[in-house]
Amino acid sequence: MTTSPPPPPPPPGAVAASDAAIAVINVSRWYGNVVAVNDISFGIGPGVTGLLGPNGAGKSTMLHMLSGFLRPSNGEVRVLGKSTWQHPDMYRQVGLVPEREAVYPFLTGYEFVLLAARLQKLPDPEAAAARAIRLVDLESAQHRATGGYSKGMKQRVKVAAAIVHEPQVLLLDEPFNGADPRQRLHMMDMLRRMAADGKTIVFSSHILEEVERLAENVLVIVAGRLAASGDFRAIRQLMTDRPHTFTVQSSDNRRLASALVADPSVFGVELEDGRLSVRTSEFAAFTVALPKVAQAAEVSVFELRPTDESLESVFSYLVKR
Amino acid sequence: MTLMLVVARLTSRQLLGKKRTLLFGLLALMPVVLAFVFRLAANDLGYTASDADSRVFLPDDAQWVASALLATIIVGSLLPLAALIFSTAALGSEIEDGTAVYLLSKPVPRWQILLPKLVVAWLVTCLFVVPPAVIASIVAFGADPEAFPASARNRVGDANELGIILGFSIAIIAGAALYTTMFTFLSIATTRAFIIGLVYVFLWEGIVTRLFTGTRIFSVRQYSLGIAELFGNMDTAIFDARLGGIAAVLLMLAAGALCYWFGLRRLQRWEIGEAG
Repeated sequence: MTTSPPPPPPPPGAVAASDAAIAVINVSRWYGNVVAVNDISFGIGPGVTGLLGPNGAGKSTMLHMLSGFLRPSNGEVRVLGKSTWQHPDMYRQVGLVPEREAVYPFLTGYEFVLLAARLQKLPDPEAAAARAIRLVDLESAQHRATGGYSKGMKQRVKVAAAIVHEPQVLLLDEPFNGADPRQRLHMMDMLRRMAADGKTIVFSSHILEEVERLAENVLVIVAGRLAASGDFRAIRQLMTDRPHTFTVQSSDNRRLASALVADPSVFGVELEDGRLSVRTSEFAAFTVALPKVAQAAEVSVFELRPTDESLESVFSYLVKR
Repeated sequence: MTLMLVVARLTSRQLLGKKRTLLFGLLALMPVVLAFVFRLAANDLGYTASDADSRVFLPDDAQWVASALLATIIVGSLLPLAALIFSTAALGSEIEDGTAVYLLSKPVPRWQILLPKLVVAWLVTCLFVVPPAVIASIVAFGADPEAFPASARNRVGDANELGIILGFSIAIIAGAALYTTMFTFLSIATTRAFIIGLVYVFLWEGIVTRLFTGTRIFSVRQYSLGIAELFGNMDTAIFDARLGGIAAVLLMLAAGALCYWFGLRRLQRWEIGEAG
């Protein structure tokens, strides 16, 4: 939950690598001379974690290492206490939704999920497949060949196949690609429910709004390094070298502005069209100071709203650093 | 066993449901058509049971069937082409389009994925090569064996039609096993398996091993022909393999074991393609 270095205390949801469902310990991965992931360590506990990064940042490389499909050049990736590399047994507890759209076009949706259930050696694969298909809301199309599915339907059938064995850890690479808004909401609800049941869910997405809406924690990878991890609002708060901007609505914005400018936690105020914007580099100090300053100035504060707290803002800032 | 059956069923649907399989079925009929043409040509030129001398401008039946039809056209071209198409489709195409992840992300030992895929690719290859080989041989030898007494049918040596058909059938089955193992390994190791396979079959086996005798020990075709000779009990005047039968069997076993081991090892260490 902080920029690195120094190493941060674990945020809610992110846990010490030794106790985590997913533990990444000093992991690097390079292709020839190109370093895709550079000495990254983190731990992920139950809940939904979003994996973010610009194209080529190394987030897919990281997800592939988490899913056991890439060997770390250095360090170790452990899922539920087991190294992911060359341990197919771990897939009893792990579900994977790959990014690539392809599914077996000659199988129906039901057959595709049933195949996954059978390969998981489930005691009642038919019932498990039917349950998973119901969960992703694909019952009406389950007996159609997947070759004729839309992109969103393919995503849902892939998710159904990945959750058919009710895995403890679910890894999803761009799971909302091609899904329409209703399907996205449905899938988000499903993932939230799974997280509430104590499952560990990690997904990558380039749609920041989705990450913001779904993920309790984020891992931001920039140029192969872990730029930040934890609650994205907490990350933002700790970026003390970048000013926070708030808009304030009060009974007298002009008087409040002149009072605030004298406070050491504030280094800029702006009044435009009667709207007050305040810039501060000390988030915590400002939130403590504002009520006191307002009270002293005999001004009532109606609303205090951060203007740059969106994940996109945080992400853009991290990438630019 | 159940898991392997699941993988085998999936693979058979993959291989038998494709258009290229149907197209290959048509290609597999070509030897039968050629044999039919050969038979007609022989008959038109007065090639009859009582007129052995009129066959002077035609190769002997047995010689043509063994050396041209079975050794060159079927073992030399149809068999490796079938093995290449079905082996690369059995696993390589899954790796290429990304669907292999759905198998490999399951708690299934990789050998239980590789073995059924190999077996299905091998069986499908045999299915598309053995029947055409047998039918074409029967057609070429003549539909009515009684009309062609052995003395008239064969200018050189003892034809032993049944031996030829049996020997080459065994050779095709054995050759198909090694070709599929080798090409499957290639398809795991490289995305250019098909091209490399074609180069191996038509350049290496077709040209290099003919020019340089020593290279025959690296040729699946030569192993197959050695096995055909071993089990076919053929007169050397009819067909003469360049590799001894026992050596061919041993080399085939060794090469098969090596390819399987490398293929399994490669699959166990298989890494997903580069990503951002």
